[in-house]
Amino acid sequence: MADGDVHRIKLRAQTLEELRAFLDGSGFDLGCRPVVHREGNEFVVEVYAPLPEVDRLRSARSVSGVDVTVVENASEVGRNRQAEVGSGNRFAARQALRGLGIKE
Amino acid sequence: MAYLNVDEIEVAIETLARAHPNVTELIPLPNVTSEGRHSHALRIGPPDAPGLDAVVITGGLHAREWVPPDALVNLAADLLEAHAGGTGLRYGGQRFSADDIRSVVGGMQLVLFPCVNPDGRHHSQSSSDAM
Repeated sequence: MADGDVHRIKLRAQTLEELRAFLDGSGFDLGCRPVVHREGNEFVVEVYAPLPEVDRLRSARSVSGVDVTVVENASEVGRNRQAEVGSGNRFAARQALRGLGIKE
Repeated sequence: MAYLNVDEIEVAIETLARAHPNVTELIPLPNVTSEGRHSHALRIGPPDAPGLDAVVITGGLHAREWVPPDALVNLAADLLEAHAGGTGLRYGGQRFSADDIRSVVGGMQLVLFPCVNPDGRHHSQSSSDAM
């Protein structure tokens, strides 16, 4: 794992204000459609950031009550997915692709 | 099936257009990408049918989101094969009748632009520093 690896991280707090205070000015990537959702009594949002940045923010801010959970190393997931990309051109023979739906 | 690379996406829709010329049109985009790639959209619908509603679906704007371009290419292939064979389509428990397929292919202009950002997709799929 490289220091610059981007991780998918869940931030969890009792109130929206706590989440906002933690994230305000952080510059974290909130994904394409940032959504805060409820899990039980808590508000949860996912962010993408290198771990050192999260640690730095956590230690620099006096916000309490924000729980940080690392879900996965998104960079590592991406590198693994690159191995699943087709090589060459599987349609070079100009044979029409058949879709995944069942024709019936 | 592995993720489609950008060359495969282009050839896949070109091949579909060639296999179903009566209900498709391969639309070249007017400009090449910054890395010099040519892009095409695929129109599915009856020719010379002004006034039909048009639906445009794009995929691959965000380079790291690899599934939508593959899904759009597969959607095009499914619709065209089902239409040509007069069949319906089933995805898991979701079924579409042959009439449903006819209403899509014959009742609107469906423009699929599977990969609007091929440079970004190629970078994210092949570069070691993309992740």
